[in-house]
Amino acid sequence: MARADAENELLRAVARGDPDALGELYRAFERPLYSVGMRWLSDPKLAEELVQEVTFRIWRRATTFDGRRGAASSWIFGIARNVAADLARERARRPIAVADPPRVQETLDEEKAWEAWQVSLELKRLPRQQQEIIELAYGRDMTQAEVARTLGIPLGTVKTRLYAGLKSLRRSLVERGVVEESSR
Amino acid sequence: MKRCSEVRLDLPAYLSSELDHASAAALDEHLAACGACLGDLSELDLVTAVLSHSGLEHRPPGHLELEVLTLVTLEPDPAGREGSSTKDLSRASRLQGRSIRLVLAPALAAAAVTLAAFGMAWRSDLSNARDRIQAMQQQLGPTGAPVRAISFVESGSTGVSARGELVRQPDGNHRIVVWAKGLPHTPAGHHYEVWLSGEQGWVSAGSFQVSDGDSMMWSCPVGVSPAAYPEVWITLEPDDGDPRRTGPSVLRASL
Repeated sequence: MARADAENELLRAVARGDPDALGELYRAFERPLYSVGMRWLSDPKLAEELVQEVTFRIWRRATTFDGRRGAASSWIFGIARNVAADLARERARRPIAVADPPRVQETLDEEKAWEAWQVSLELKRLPRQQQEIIELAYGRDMTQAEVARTLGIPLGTVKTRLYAGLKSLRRSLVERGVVEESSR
Repeated sequence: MKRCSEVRLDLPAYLSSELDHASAAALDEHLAACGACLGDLSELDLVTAVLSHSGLEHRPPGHLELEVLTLVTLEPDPAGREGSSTKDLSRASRLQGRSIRLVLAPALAAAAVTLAAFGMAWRSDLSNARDRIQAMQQQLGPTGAPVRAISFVESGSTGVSARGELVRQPDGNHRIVVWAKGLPHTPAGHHYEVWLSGEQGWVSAGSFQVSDGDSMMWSCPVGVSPAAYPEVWITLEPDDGDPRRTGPSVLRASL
């Protein structure tokens, strides 16, 4: 079953009230949701609220999902965008403490967030060993030598897994239209 | 000169300027003469550029999954759910004088473990679980021999850990003992329930609450043959009188 079909099927199981399906769906989307929450709201607590609220809306509204109109991931991203806008508006109405730093006006950079959403989803689908190396190298800005020390594996293994992971990720992102197909 | 297969493994380090001067110069030389590796470099450049601004540094806290799933499935009936949001639940919870977040937040501070079933208090961590189980068996008297250890696997990455033991009692029946750490306090109107499952279906082995700490020990006789029900589950169930399993699983194990 293709990934998109599998996600759609999970969402249909959620619509039938299957809590395990909700758990599985949650685990697939928690990281992307949290990432877009941080990107849009720059606040860990609000990002957590976003994850919670989106999950709740999925649970409440899964019966309204129509797979013919788009993929489950697009539907969930749309919910996240609406929730983020709600949370940003709500925050704007809250009084600002004197000690708080001035707030930056949030703009929901949808294109970049969508791109990050796709990357996060595809990254999660890589083998765990490739995923953790990419996260350390590009999420925490570690050198390959630092990654090797952190994971306790040879540098050569880091190089092999990193290269394989990046190539797999590129193929997935080309399929999703996030990066362009090579012209060679 | 390095072969292409070796050069390609160096491309990510080349892009992030991690190669020393000599290695970078040798790679430059190779790229000048090798269109395939140059094309590979271009592809990797695109994907690493996307990665660098994709927010990979943001990781949700480990406790979030169980908190959210617990909160969200507070409504056991899947039908007719269109409409409200967690704000409604938050409002309802505030009416009860508690913040929903506080209700669900894991109490991670080390605390004495209250054993509801036995009225005993323990301080420990999971590495001492077996000692505690044996101590509890002593409290229970001549309960019989441990049959096998139970290693629970958490349903997701929630920071909950648990071990247990299947014990054969002198009368030939079995008893399950479970020691868990990291379980969130039981939300109002809910309970944790222990189930045995097999080809013949699901059988409840009993329920418990977590209210005074983040650890608990629980023991209950098993009324069915463990051979016929080889799976153990701990789920969070609503107090709705429905004897079926409807809540999300928290822990599971094979006997």
